[in-house]
Amino acid sequence: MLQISGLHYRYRNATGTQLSVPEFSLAKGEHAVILGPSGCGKSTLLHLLAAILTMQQGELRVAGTDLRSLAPRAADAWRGRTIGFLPQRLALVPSLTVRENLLVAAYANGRTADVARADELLQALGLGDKARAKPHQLSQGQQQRTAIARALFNHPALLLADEPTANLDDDACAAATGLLTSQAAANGASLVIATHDARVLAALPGAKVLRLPRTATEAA
Amino acid sequence: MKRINALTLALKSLRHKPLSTAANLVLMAVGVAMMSFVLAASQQLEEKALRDARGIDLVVGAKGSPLQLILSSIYHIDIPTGNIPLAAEAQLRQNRLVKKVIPLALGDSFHGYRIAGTTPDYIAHYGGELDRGEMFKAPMQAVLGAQAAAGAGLTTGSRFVGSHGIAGGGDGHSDAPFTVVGVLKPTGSVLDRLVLTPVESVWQVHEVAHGIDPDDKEEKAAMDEERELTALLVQYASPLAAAMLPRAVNSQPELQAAQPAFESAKLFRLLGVGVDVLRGIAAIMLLSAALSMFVALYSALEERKTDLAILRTLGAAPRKLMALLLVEGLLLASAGAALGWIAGHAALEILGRLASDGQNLALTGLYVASSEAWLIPVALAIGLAAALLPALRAYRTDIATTLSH
Repeated sequence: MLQISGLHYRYRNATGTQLSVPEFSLAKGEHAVILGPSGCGKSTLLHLLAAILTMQQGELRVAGTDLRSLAPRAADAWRGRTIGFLPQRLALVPSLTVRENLLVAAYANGRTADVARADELLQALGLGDKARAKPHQLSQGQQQRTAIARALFNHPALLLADEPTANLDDDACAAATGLLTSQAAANGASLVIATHDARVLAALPGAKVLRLPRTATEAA
Repeated sequence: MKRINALTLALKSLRHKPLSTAANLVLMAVGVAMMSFVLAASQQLEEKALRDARGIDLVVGAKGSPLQLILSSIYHIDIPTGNIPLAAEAQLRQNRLVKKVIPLALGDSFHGYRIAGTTPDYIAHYGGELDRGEMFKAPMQAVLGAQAAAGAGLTTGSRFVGSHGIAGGGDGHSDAPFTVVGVLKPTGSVLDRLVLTPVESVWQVHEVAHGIDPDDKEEKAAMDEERELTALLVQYASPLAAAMLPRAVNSQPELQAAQPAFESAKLFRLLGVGVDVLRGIAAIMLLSAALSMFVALYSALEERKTDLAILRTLGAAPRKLMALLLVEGLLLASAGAALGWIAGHAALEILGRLASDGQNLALTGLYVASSEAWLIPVALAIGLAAALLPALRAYRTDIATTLSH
């Protein structure tokens, strides 16, 4: 599902800071936690896995695709087919209903809107009665569940979550991680969570762990 | 909503900000309304003026202002410059440069509709056809234009008396009543607003008024010499006439020749200044609409950056985001333009109805000027121009930065 070897990413604007991951791999159905303090490049690594950013050195295979060989234009389509992304900022479209926020994933990916798929996901995430609500009418937890449903809409092989438990209390944290693992499993996706929150690790006992050092290493 | 595409997304985004959307729609609509109003009204007036003057190469009348002569004897919106001797008609008819001469004897009106003493040639010249009744054959018979008949409430068999001048309400000629023998179909020309009668009727009305007995042979002979017309509408037989006839007519002490084409052009040059000013104001309105739309789209982009970035994580290419914003600009501009076009023409129709009673300009909102076609590309260009920069910014959005901050 995921193979990293000798990955180097140099930030464009920072003074030579770079992110390095020597070796990491994940089999299909396995989950992973990228652990490290804020500012260590967790988000950057997720962006690299999603082909939003491109590394300068190393090898990176995601779901059978060598990301080095992916042209920028092809990367967008590949991302839509392969990756489910749950950003730290949920970024629901305020002018659309909950259901439409899911269907927008089909539009972005150039598919026809599958209303049955949207309703099935909303049902599974306990949002069945919120399909016509606008994002601002939802609680924080409901908004996150909507974002999860949207990330899963295009049947991704890999679900990436960036700090999904930030600002959540213990109960909500356990609920969120539980939901992510169960939904990833139900949709046949591998789950990678980037977090500085040790509680996530406790909630995902079977997950592989990738620890990033405190700060991105200075380039030699 | 089951369909999600650029159009529906743009529509929802616009509806999400009703105040900003409404303000932009109004700005755009006001600009387009002014523009379409000015274009449709000026072209309509010009076309009407041309239609009324078509086929009339020269107007011969009494000395005075040539523009007044044209206004009074072609458009019937001014008082005549005076009268000319009846002999002038025969003299012109003999000229081989002249193809057609139509006499006009003016002076009275009924309910504000001018009574024009003329020959059936005049009606034929404007392509008038009888809707009911028959053509006048004898003095004191009248054929009414469609608008005059409806406005004065007359039909075949009605009797009426004219009054002095064209304003209506002047002294009546109660002892010389007209009988309506026919009503014309609408022609869209000046004919619609006239009461037409043989030239002799006009003479007779005024002879009766002045106490002359037409049965008295001596008095009648004396009258014939003094009989007058108001104007002669002349059609040239050859292009040569344009060079020779006006000079020949003007050299005679009592006569003046005015060329409708020349005088109308002079009039429209004068009106054109006003039209240009209004067009300029409309253009400034459209420009400010474009600016306001640009500001709205550009500032909304700041809040929508994460929404747009998330579309990228869901597989949308940058050009899809660009299209989304362009569609939004185009939608806003064309909706505003459509509203404005309807408003402009509604205003024209209202003005036309208010003015049609008293004034002699019948404007309608149903008329579409050919120059209004320009409003479509102009509106689209405004929408594109307003959305272009925001769209380019959306295209260049750095998703990694946007999503992690």
